Amino acid sequence: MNPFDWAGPQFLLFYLAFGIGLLSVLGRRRHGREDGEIPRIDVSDPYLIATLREGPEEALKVAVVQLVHRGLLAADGTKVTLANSNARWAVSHPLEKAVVSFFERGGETKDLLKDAPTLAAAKASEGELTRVELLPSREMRDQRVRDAMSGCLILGGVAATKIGIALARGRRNIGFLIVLWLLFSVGVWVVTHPRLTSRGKALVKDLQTLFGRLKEDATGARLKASATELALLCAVFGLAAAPAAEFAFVQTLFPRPASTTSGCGSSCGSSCGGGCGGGCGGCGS
Amino acid sequence: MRFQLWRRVRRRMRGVRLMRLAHRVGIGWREELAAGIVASLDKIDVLEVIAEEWLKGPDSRVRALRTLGRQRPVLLHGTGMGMAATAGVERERLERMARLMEKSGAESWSEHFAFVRAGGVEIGHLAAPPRNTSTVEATAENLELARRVTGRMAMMENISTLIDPPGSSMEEACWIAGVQRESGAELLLDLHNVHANAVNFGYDAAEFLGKLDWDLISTVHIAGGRMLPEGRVLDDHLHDVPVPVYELLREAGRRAVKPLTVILERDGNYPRMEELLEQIEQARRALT
Repeated sequence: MNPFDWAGPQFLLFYLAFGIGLLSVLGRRRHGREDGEIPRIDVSDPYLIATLREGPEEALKVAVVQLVHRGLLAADGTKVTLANSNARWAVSHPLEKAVVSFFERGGETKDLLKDAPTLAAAKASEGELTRVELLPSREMRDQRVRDAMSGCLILGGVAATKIGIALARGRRNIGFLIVLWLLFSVGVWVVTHPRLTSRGKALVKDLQTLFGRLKEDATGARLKASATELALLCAVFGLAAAPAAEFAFVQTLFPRPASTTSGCGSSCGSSCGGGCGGGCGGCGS
Repeated sequence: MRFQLWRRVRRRMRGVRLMRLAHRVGIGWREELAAGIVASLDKIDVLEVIAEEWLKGPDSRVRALRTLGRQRPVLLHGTGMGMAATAGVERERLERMARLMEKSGAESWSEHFAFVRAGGVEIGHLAAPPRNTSTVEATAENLELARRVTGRMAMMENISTLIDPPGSSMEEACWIAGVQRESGAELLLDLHNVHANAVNFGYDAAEFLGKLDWDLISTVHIAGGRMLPEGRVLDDHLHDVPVPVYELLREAGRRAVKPLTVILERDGNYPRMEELLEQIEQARRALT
């Protein structure tokens, strides 16, 4: 019954089961450590929520959408300029100030997402999210690294033992085991290093539950009347939640990444418009 | 001169009393208004959710309610128990409510002085019970069972009706007082329902308020309805709060002996959030 005496295919099956079990243990360990009562944060701040859900770049996108909707920025394709000279004084949020400042001389949205000072303004809220452990704190990150290393070492130890035994017995068919070990090592890193903590993920899910019907019934009329409501909807669900008919500029400013799946033909033609051209070209028909 | 001095003293005394009574004003949570409500939490003290929308579904849904409760206190408002009926309230419903209260961390729960089913048939709306001694006793028994199962006494809301319930031998205020005496339940005072019944049955709404036991009132509903062609008021929650309801709220503020929690109810035909916030602000002003 010693698995190290098993033949190659049987041992690979054992290693597969062992690896999956270990990933599951590591995942549950991390979840148990990072779960807990969801802290109170300012859920009325769409930029904070967008940063939580998707990161600082998403917060920048939501800010641009909100400012265009408020008539402070003007969008022409992916180029954005100030819509009026008072825009700078009409905003109070540091992130909005940074965005308005970036577009004072006009610019492309893709450049905004790479602009260091603006990104720094967007990243400021990550500190708050880390403090309340919706994003992993320093201690959590250290623990994650320790878990990942332990996982890789255990998997590596088991694989190395079997490889040593196989080589000692004059066998050379160790390639699959090495590949499996490498794949599991990547898996260990993925399982132990999600961007959000469990409670961060839970808060995003809770907000999506609370806003669920709003997304289903998102009618342009309500959202057109309130830039804040549109910003919150986009923050919670992503820019795709903005009704396309009323907010076509959202899709133009930040085109969705082209799909590389076989569903390319129909979805691309109808919803992506110009922004999809390159990605869909390869589909042929 | 003496009169002016007396007025000043009275005003000062009233100010002191109002400082003591820290009233709260909030709104009924509706998912259609979710973004507007969340964006305006700084102007909203408390949220009331319809319990039936959360009684079924996975635990993750209730956890979302708990998360909402971390932003503002959440009150549960039930519509499906049928407390004011000679038929006993279903224990299973109460157990589900108890679980929801525990998991959501809600501050309180409420129901209606109404029956919603009879002979196994769901009526589909809140029907006013016959106001007599047998329904007083039955309602009090239902409330006592509810208290035992959920661990907390429900607040009970007065309802509006277009017809005087057949089989009644008591006035509404007298019937409510009877149930409160037997059960100790607080009245969730719906001022639009008071207004609607006063118009529909031709009595004075302010006088009605005078007949209530204000030691057992801490929560108030305000809402809007519409006038039917025959001159009766329908409580549909689809319209703005009318002036007479604000006047009743002012009167409630004067009579209150406990801090009031006022909830604006709106169930459809939603206006812009700013308009709802203005109604919340107007309610706040009526209390000060």
